[in-house]
Amino acid sequence: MIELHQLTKHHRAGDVETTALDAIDLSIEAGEYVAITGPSGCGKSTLLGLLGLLDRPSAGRYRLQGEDVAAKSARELAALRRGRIGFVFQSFNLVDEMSVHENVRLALRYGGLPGKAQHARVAEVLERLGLAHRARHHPSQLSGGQQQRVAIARAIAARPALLLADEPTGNLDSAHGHEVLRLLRELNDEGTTLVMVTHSAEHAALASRTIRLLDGRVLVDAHAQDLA
Amino acid sequence: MKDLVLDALRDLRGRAHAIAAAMGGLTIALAACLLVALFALALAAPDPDVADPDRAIMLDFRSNLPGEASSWFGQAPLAFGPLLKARHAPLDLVSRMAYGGMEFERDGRVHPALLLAVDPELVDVLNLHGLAGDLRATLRGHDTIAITADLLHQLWGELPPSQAIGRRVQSHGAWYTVAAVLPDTDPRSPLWGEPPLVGRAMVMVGFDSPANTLTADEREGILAANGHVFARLRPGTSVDQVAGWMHDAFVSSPGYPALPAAWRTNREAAFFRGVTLRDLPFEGARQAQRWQAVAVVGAASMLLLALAAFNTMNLQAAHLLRRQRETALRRSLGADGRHLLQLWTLEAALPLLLSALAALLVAWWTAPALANWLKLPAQLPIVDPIPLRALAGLALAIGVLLVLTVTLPASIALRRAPAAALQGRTASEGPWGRRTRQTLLGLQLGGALLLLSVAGVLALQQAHMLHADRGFTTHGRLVLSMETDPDHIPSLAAFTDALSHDAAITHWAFSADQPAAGTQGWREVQTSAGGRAVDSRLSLVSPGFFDTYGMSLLAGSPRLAEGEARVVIDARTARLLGFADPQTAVGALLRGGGSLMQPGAELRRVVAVVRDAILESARDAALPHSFLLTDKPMWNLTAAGPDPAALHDALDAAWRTHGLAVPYELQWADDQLAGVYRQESQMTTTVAVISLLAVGVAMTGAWALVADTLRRRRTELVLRRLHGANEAAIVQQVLSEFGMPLLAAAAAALPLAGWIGWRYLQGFQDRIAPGSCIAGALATALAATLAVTLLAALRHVRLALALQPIEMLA
Repeated sequence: MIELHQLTKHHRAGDVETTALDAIDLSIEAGEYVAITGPSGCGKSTLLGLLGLLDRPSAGRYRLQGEDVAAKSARELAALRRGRIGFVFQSFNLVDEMSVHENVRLALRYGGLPGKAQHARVAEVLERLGLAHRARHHPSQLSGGQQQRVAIARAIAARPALLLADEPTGNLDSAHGHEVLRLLRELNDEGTTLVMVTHSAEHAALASRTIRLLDGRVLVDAHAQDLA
Repeated sequence: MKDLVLDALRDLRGRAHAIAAAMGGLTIALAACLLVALFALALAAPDPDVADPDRAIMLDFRSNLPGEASSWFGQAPLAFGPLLKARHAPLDLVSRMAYGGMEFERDGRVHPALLLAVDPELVDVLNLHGLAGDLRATLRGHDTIAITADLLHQLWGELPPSQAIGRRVQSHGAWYTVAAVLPDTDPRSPLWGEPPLVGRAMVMVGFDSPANTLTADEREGILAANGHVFARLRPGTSVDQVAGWMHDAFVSSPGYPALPAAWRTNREAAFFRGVTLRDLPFEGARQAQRWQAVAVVGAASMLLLALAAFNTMNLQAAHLLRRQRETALRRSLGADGRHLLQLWTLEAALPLLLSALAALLVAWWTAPALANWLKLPAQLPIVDPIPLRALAGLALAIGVLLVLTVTLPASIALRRAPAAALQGRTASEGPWGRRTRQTLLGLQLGGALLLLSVAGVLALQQAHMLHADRGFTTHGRLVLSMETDPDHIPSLAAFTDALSHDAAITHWAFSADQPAAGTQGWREVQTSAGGRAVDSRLSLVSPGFFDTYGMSLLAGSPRLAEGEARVVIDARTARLLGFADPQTAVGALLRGGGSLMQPGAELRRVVAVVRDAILESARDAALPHSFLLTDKPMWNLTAAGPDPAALHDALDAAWRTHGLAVPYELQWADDQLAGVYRQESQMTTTVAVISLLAVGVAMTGAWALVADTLRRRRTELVLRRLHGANEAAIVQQVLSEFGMPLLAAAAAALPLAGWIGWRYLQGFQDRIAPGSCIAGALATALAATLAVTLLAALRHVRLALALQPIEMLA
């Protein structure tokens, strides 16, 4: 599903240039559950941003479902993201001025689904995630765990083939964190490719494959059975 | 679309206060620009009844006598009507119009009316139509007249126009038959005139009617602009050719060889041109002044709009910066640039549209009151209906504002990759954001400073004009003006006796002119026994005039004598006539009474010399003055007394008891003087109001800058406190943000304001000293701008002073 070849990303601030990713070679198959770990500043979030087409590599090739995306325009990338990639963030990134229902529907607004169908799909995912009774509430009225579930609902509303999670439990207590991880596992079991960035070795162990980064390079890339 | 609208409304609700502040300034600025546009369109509109006003023309004329500078008269010698016809000039419907007056007595009261004596062809040139009767036949008749609805109402109340046809009326001893009734004149018509005390009462007669009292000389004279001549251009001709046709008719007329050789040898005695009825609203000295005022107020309004627009742009830029996370989120969910631009455009468009609607409402509601303040005719349509061009201009302004408001912030927002914002790393504006904000504030402060400075110069010149020493006093002088035929004023002995015996009245005098208001008047050449000739202005006054107006006598005594014409001259006239001092001039004989600036043969004895009198407006050069004494009652009577209220009551009571049954009005001479400069005064007031609004808008910008400074440098300020900075140091840090904008504002605005002020003052012959006036106005404006900026920053300076080092632990 995902092929990275010599993928590189530099960050420039004034005269200073730092290398966030250094010639990464990586393949991820459809349906895999991959955890990306590493110390702070190793390039985990940068890699996730590139995978999600939220940023452009400085060099290298990125093929998503057989399509070379590195040279695509912003408009084409947006079209690619629609319905194919879902995101779950550490800070939830919900819009507080919108209700839960509207936050989830935001994921469907830019596709071709008619309005009625959008509302029906939103109701469906909220029901699945146990948030139907909170549909009219605003994010500030929910607990952290509930907010993250809303974010997950938004991420899966368009039935993406790829789900990218960046420290999804980072702002949650352990109980809520486990709940979120269980949900993500469920989604992966249903066939969604899941790539999760995490600091926690315990959470990384839940994945079927772990990629460890250091200084922008892949240090370890092993399947769970190999690490066991 | 519905989702977009809901998103936009949600966003607006979230920042309602900031948007309301920006919208308020924008609404006022848009309303100001819209009002200027509405009034300009109304004033520029030609008569709507005239078909193809580009082909209907009026002849214009300017004399070029040796030693005299004149401007276009807005009239022409009536002789050009028959002269152009005789020469078969390619003009159709050549028609003359002369002015006069009629008086109709009814129920013991006299009803004056403006008289227009016209050729019947004028009906077709101006597409005149009547409410009743046959207008063309009326103008061909001998003793038939057409009256306006207003005059009909005065004479016969609510009588239907058709029932007025055939009625007989008498004026100045002659009988006339009403054969047509005209609607009241449209203010846009070339026939429009609303003389004081006459209003819209008008009579129209044929040019050859006995009611037209012009002499043969006056009808055939080629150098006195004494009426209007209209015509229609034939196909294939242009208005630029009219000057040539008039010139040819002038030099080949029988009167041309009779002109003094000095006027026409190797020079032109006069200049000519045609003016289309479309261009007529722009011609003439008075119109030029009016359009100058429109231009000044229009420029000030546009500047105010620019300042308000900067606030809106600033607001939008800051708002998009704060929404980086949401923008990145939408992009992560598949929104592309087009989707986001639609959303941001709608968010920016909604307040702009609301501002436009509010501005339209404000303009529509205030226009009538403003028209009244400007003393425009009540019948002039300004907002009924609102012209499409004004609406189109408003739409265009909103469109331009929308593009400016959205484009730059949107392009910056879309260039940023969404990843960083989603990870919580929002980008700051960077140094360019701060510089942009400072630049915009600099422009706002500069605009406010410019407007304040110009308003100051206008106000100082206005005060100078009203209080300058004119050689006579207007304060406490009450003028009674009557509307009647000056050749038919009966004896007013009982009235003047009453004045002389009333303790509230210390002095009174008749005059043909109103000294405070009559800036233009009759001119004659006065020639001394030694042959010195002076072109002076001549006023007809009664002997008490000089005491009444507090004019200092330098020599002699203004007294009448039987069998001898007597004149009082001012010191300037005496000097120009060659008298060594005022005493020497007393007793001298002068010759005058000539027409068209020619020496006369009428002998007049100088009986007194007064200080230099300035009756001209501040825009014109002061002329030498002579005052011809008479004991006849005249149109205007001025009275002076110690108690203004008692003076008013006494004069009014005396007139009601002993005066004529004619329309009259009482007006203070100070008000008459103010009326001369009414347009300047209105322009000054308007610019001052706009400048205050600009200051308000600039304050909003200053407020936003200091709030942003505090937000951006909060950590730094706390650190400075932590390391021992005192209050003064903190205040200096916050206020240093304004240093550059203020410097830039002063550097740009002050020289420009100085230049504008100097140019304005050059339009006056009598003006305040440009150097001190302009310097004073600029200094005051600068001080005011500084004070206002400090005031705007006060709250946030206090917040900055309240920051404590313990906040570092937060």
